[in-house]
Amino acid sequence: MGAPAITLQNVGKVFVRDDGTAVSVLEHVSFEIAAGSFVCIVGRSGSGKSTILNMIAGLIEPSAGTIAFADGVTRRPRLDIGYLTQKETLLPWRDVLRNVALPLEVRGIATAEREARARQLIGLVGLADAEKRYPRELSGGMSRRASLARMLASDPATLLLDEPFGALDAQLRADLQLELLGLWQGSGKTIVFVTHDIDEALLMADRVIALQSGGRIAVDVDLPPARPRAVRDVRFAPEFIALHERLLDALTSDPGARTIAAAAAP
Amino acid sequence: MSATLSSTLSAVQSRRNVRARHNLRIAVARIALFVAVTGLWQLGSNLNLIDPTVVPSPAAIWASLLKITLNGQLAFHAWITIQETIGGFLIGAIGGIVLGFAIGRYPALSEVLDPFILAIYSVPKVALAPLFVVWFGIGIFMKIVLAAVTVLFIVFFNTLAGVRNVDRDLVDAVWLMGAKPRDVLMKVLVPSAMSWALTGVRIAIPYALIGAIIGELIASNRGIGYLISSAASSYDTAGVFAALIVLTVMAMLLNAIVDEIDRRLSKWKVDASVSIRGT
Repeated sequence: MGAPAITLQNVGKVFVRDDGTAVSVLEHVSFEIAAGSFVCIVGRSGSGKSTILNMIAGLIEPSAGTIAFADGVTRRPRLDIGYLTQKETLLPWRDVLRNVALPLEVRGIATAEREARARQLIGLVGLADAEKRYPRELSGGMSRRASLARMLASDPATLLLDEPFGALDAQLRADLQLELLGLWQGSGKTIVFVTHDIDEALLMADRVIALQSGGRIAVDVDLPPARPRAVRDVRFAPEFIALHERLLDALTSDPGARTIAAAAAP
Repeated sequence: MSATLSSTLSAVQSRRNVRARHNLRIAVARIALFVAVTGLWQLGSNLNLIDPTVVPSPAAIWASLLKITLNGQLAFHAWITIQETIGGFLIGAIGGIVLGFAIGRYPALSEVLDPFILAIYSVPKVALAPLFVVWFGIGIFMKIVLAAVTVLFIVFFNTLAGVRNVDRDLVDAVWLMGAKPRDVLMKVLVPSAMSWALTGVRIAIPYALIGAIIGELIASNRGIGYLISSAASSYDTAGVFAALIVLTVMAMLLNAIVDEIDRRLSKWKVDASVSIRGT
């Protein structure tokens, strides 16, 4: 793998709740993400995995430590990051074409050029017939595809995905996992993919990090490099079964999960 | 294959026939109901079972309607009311949107103004009519003001709610794309709030007519409201009913416009609703 694209060093995050009490979500989190690699972060809800993505994206600042990129640029937001959240954030008053073209529009790319680029991506994700539709006229899978296309519109070097397929049914999720892999392979893009689904991580990632509550890294493992991986291999090959068990143990043995979950409850 | 296709087509065809027949039956039933009620009503009037000074006969109403249509009164007074409604609506809607954006952009200001705005909003606008008569006289302008005030608060509250309820995640998403504050304003905040504002506009349309009519009922010498009150004051109940029919048609036309707006907005509209706390 290449040089580190993103380096987290001793990152900590403390949130202050409305009643003034402070909750420490992450403490002393350090890891590097290699350029061009596909890294999955698995963890239960409350483990702080989304917080890590939000900090890499620049939506929130770390309370301690640093997050550095290879080029040394500290300005946020970085323009070479695409971020896909679980929640749909297509603009309801724009059709698919104008949504996908939006990242280029805010960068001042001319209409003809950005729409040509958007059409190309819309075709790539299989929505060519739906470019005039509005988000509320799209199915869950179509919305996700449109969001994927929008994320790719500005051709970002780094993609951050936060449980992007969590709300989809199993078959659709499998389809989109393969499509994302297809879009990524050979692109040289760095992907940080957050999920709570171990199978999803094992199918897609070069490397899986299991996060326990507080941001403690319980497992950090490189997967066998052979690709493409078949779903059946990931399910039934002995080496993957062993990996699955290791990751599952890390998530279920999380000592802080219960207290964190209780503290986070409204 | 083709047998399946043709059977599918014939199934679709027969479903269409069933629906067409259903629609026809409903239409026939509606006409029958109208004819029956009007017929019984006319019969009752003819047999002197119904006092014509209380409820005039359908024939008398029709004659009255025909009379005001032919002598030009209907067109004259309806046009006055339409002008008041449209004028009041436009002023109120534009004013409400502008005020909503202006105040909504400054959360501290809107917090300070909240109780005062709510106080003015809570006053039944009808109660302001006599004051408006003193201020603006009994001409068309007073009705426009009354309609505008009624509309303004509905649109204003929806716009304000829209500006305050912009989806934070949409703002974040567009900010992450590298959008400048101006882009966030024009591409997220304004369109998002506009969908709320338009919901207010849609709700407010019938209220513009209500404002105009109330103004005319209270003090005027023209308009449909005047037609109603002047007929009533001379015990011309047939004239009252005729004017009410004109008013009903106008209100139904307005509702049709509202439905059309709804249909066009429903494609992308953000779910937005503010409870309307009386007028």
